[in-house]
Amino acid sequence: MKVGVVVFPGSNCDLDVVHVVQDVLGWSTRILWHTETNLVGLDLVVLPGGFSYGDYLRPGALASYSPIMAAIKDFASKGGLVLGICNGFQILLEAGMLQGALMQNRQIRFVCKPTWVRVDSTRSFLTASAYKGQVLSLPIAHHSGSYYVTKEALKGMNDSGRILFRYVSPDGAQDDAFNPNGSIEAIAGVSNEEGNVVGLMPHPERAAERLLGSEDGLVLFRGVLSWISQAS
Amino acid sequence: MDEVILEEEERALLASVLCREPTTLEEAITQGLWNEHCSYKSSKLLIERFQALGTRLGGIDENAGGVRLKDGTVVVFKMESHNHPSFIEPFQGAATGVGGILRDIFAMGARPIALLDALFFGEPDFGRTPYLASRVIDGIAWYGNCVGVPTVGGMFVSDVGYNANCLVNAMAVGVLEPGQAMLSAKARGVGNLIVYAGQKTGPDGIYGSRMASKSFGVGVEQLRPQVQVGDPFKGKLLIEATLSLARRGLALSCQDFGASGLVSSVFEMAYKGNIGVRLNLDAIPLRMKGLQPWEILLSESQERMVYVVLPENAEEVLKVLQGYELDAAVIGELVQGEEIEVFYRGEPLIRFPHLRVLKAAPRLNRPMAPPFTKQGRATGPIGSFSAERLGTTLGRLIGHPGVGSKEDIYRQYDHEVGIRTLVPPSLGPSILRVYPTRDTAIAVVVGSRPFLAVSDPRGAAHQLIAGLSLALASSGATAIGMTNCLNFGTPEDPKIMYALKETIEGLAEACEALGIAVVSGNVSLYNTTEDASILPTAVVGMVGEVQIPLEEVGQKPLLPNDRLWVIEYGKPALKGSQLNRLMPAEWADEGLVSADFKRHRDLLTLATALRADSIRLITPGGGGTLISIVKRLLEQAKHADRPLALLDSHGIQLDPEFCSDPVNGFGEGCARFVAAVEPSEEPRLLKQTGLSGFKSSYLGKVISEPEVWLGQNTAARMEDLFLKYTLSLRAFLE
Amino acid sequence: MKLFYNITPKPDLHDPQGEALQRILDRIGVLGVSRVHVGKMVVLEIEGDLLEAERKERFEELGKTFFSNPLLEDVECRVESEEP
Repeated sequence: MKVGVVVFPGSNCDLDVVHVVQDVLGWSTRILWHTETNLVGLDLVVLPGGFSYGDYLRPGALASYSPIMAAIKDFASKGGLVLGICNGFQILLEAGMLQGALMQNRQIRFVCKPTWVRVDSTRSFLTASAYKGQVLSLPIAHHSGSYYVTKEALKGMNDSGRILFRYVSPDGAQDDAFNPNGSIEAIAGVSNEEGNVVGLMPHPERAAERLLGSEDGLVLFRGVLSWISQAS
Repeated sequence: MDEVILEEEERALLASVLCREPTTLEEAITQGLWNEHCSYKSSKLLIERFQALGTRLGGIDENAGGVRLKDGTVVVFKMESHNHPSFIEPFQGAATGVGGILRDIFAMGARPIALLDALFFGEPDFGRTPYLASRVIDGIAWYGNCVGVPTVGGMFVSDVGYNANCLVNAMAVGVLEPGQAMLSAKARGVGNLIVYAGQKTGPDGIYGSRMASKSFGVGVEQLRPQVQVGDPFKGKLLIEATLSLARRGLALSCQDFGASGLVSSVFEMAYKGNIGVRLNLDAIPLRMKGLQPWEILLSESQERMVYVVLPENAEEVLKVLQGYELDAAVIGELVQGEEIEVFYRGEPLIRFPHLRVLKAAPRLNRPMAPPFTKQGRATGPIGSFSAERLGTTLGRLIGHPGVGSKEDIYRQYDHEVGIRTLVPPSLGPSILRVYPTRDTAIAVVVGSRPFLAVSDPRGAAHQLIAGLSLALASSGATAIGMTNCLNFGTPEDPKIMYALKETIEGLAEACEALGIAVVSGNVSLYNTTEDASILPTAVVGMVGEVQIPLEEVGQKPLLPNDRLWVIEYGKPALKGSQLNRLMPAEWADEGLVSADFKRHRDLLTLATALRADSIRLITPGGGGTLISIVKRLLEQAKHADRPLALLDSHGIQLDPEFCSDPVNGFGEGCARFVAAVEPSEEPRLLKQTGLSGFKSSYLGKVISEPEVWLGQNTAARMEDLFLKYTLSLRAFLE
Repeated sequence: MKLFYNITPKPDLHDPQGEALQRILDRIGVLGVSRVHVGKMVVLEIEGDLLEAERKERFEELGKTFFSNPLLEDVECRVESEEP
């Protein structure tokens, strides 16, 4: 398994992802500066969290113009796996690779805390090892994580299993008290039609070791293996 | 330009150094070097006391100091104030405070891994206080979150003493891997080049450091300097670029631009290296046209660094910096001689004898006068509690912003980025692993005892150091080093100077006795507005090395039937406590006997041994022993992450005899901790405590009912306390 | 009628946002941009008019002291009347 981790100016979770992929999962990694365009040999490209370009203009907006983005679109169109975490999710939306937009949290403030998310579709590489309805403990840390998409689009996304994660209570119930940012339908992560491009606000890389309080993130990373073995 | 003028006495001093009358430009530069903020002229003679101490790595003239862990890792840390800028523009003031302290850390080649903040504000219903507090927190969150360094701890005080002057102290912690060299701030090697990188220079905060060298005598409206605007995005790029230069050995030395800009960075570097400089102002990246040379020299634009590099490496260095999308340029050269020769528009502008001028920097021996104000009546402790009075007192304290939950603040900070945070901010020290793949870990904590320092600055300093070291021991760590930020009023006031001297003496004595290195520090004076000065506020940030396995750093919860024992060598006191501060007429005593460091060392040893034995320990903090236990019960109920209505907390049955003396429950001191054991473990605990020669008193036991009982009587319901606890900061933040 | 408050950073102050944007414009080949300023706009829909001097002043003051931070930002207020 070979994973590319993209570093945009202002990314700050890149080393965290590298640690989990390399030291916890034992896969190999390649760090990609945002001006690179060669993705040959990679199975998965991760756009990590952070504040690319300081979140200036809109989160993810400036990074979506980085030279590597054209290469990533091309990579994805050929079936390559692309994962955007937090700011990486914002970049994928700005680049038009996923549907919807992320607005400021409804409480306007940054929020860093543990959340529970329920897996609502397994039709993506990230959820391929999870089961439908599985509740995972994953932390969030963001200022603009309130997912929005039009009603019509939402219906299509629901119908085709592109809504992957929703914020829920610890026992898996949808309840506004557990929606940390005001996302529409408490959505925490989505995928494209093919399931090979995924974005989510929670940080699976911060929940991949018992020492840090949760290993639930590993279920998601391991989905990459199931997805690839199913495909081949 | 006319405004930048030295005081008469200093002007005469400069004239005597130059052997002639100074020009206006020379005066401006000298003001930049000699002002209080940059020269520490009022405190320099006092803080020399710290230099004699300990095992710090890195000289006192470097950006920060460090201590070495057992595996060879060097932990570098420092705390700095940004009080005055935050009072004027709280968001940018606090943000640039975070940016500045981070630069001090990575300027040494260390990767910043943690931030902490000590915040002091007035009462919530006083004027600008809620605005200041919420904007300061927003500013810290913005910079820290964006730059990707977790904010893992801090403290928050609300008191009438800070109505007219808020305090914003930021601490940063960084690490150098074993064998990695510390970058120096001394410019060395004739012929080497000076490289500039970061933000372009603009006319920002030209009077900034003057601001921190004077009291506010007028409305903020009239004090509008060009505000410095921080750019955490560029700050992040500067971190990575600087660490990359350090790793590859391309930077020989390094310095950030702080107060007084280029003057303090390049001139100080050259002074420390005892070398001359040819400085070319035309090469400096400028944000706008028409800047005057003195503006370029004194600009306080943020996110700028200078590096000393070998001439043959200059091209490579510029390539690295530009690769990080930073503006960068060679702006000068180190030369033989005792002067800094500045060129502007191709012409020589000035030859400034920086070695002589900095050597002659004033060191004031300001007059001092004891005593500081006597505060509070000296009465004996008040008779025993009724359950009702106990409940009211608990409620009053736990809902106070200085005592209640800080969750509303730390949820706004990314405290996890870097995936090092093993024990997140909550109660007591936070714990971080230093590397994701190794077992080395540190514990960090900040504290201050201003209410005690009002009447006994030296005693407060003793208490503070002893108390923080005990908090670390209770978390399984050994205190190894501290940094401090000394916030005081106008140094022209002899009483304030006396308190400063006593504080420094007290901190030094305690650190010496307990073997804690003083690695760095900062003094902030003139925290005075219209004759109102802050309380003498020494903030200490302490770092400990974790001694227990990482799997065990999180304290296990208190469970029903656990028995709680107070283990101590001396009682706490109401004097200087939060309760005394809130209700001085009702709750006062004569205060503490002086600290006993020998006994304290033994107490630390005992706490360390018990913690290693998996016994749950609580070190009482602000509000006293009972408050600390109630807070622990509430936090663990909250950790179950249930919403408010589902609160499922345990309670406590307090021993009436223990509570018969209010000092026991609500006094504050450094000489005790609380141990929680299952009934079966009790004999072993008491035996071990007895062998160590400490007194143990039964405090009470954990019960499954969500209430505080005094004997058989209900004093308070945990749910009510929980509401007060969690809502304590709402007046500031909403 | 509508009131448009156009809030921009003071021209002398550092504008990190504008600077970052300018860099991208350079990258994607938009030529001839010498500086970028990023601000914000507040729009108030109000009832009645602003003929009364005191009311007008109150709304102007709002822009200067509440919607903008006078230390950091300039503000311009523009009025747009509705079509009859």
